[in-house]
Amino acid sequence: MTPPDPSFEALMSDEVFLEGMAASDVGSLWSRLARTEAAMEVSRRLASDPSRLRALCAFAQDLLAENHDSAYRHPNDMAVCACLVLLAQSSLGAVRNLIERLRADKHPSLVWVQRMAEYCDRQRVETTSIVVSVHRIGEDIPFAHPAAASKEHERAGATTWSRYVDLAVA
Amino acid sequence: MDLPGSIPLYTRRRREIPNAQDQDLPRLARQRVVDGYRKKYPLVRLRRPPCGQYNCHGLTFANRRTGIHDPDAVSTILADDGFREIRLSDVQCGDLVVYLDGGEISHTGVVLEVKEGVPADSMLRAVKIISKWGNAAEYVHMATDGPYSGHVVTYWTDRP
Repeated sequence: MTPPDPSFEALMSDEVFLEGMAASDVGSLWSRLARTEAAMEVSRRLASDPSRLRALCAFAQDLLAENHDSAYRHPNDMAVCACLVLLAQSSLGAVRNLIERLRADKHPSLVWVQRMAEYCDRQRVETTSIVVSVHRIGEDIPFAHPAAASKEHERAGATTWSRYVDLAVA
Repeated sequence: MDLPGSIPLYTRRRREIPNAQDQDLPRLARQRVVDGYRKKYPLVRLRRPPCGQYNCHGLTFANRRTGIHDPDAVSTILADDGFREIRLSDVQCGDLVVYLDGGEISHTGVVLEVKEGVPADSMLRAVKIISKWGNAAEYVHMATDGPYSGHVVTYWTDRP
């Protein structure tokens, strides 16, 4: 089992906490957290050793398991959101389970974690969509950004990828 | 105070605005926010301690009754409520400041004071606003001071 990375502790720092607290919506929360030194350092470490993803997932679960007064927001919610930003693109089963569980969790004390889990899911679908379309219809993609892909996809009236590919080929 | 979680909220054109009243932070976390920002931004003035009931857009557009967590909803309000973007030189008290990060609305506040008679290129520093920083506290601060200082600053008014 991979031991927890000491750099994960920095996700609980004031830097991450204060950046997260300044966000008014989940998109800006994502951007602010991703730009922190702490998150960038963990991201570099994960890139050099992807096996640490599992340890980061366990770290997030430990943070969530900490005792707290459920009448208030979870005190670690910004640190957990930072973990989710770093885990979002992973296809690891444990990570997908965690995101799915948090997405479904409607407890008010975890509202920001839930918003972030939903956002992670949307981000992943958009990124996956680009990869699928590149693989299936070659290089003639009329857009270069995930958001543009989604809008193009919607405009084309496609509800499934096979429909999208049909429309694109036609 | 026991809150319903969200309230009916509409634009002037009666488009519904999704909103949410979040829980407060626990006491120690509230203190951590106040202490952390005091250290990081020593020139800003705390006006009201942290609370989850509303965010910056809730202060600007809903009189602190609730939080608006969707930047597209803020664009809808600006359009439906008759706001238009103005130049810095035309800004007056009561106008709005809207910050953009990567083209997305990231923060809003209300102009409290505009210092007159300063060179146009330094006017940005002369606008004092009130805004609530995300889920944190409410501050009185210069438009360029605070956690949104790197964002694009725009000004809006609904004055005729």
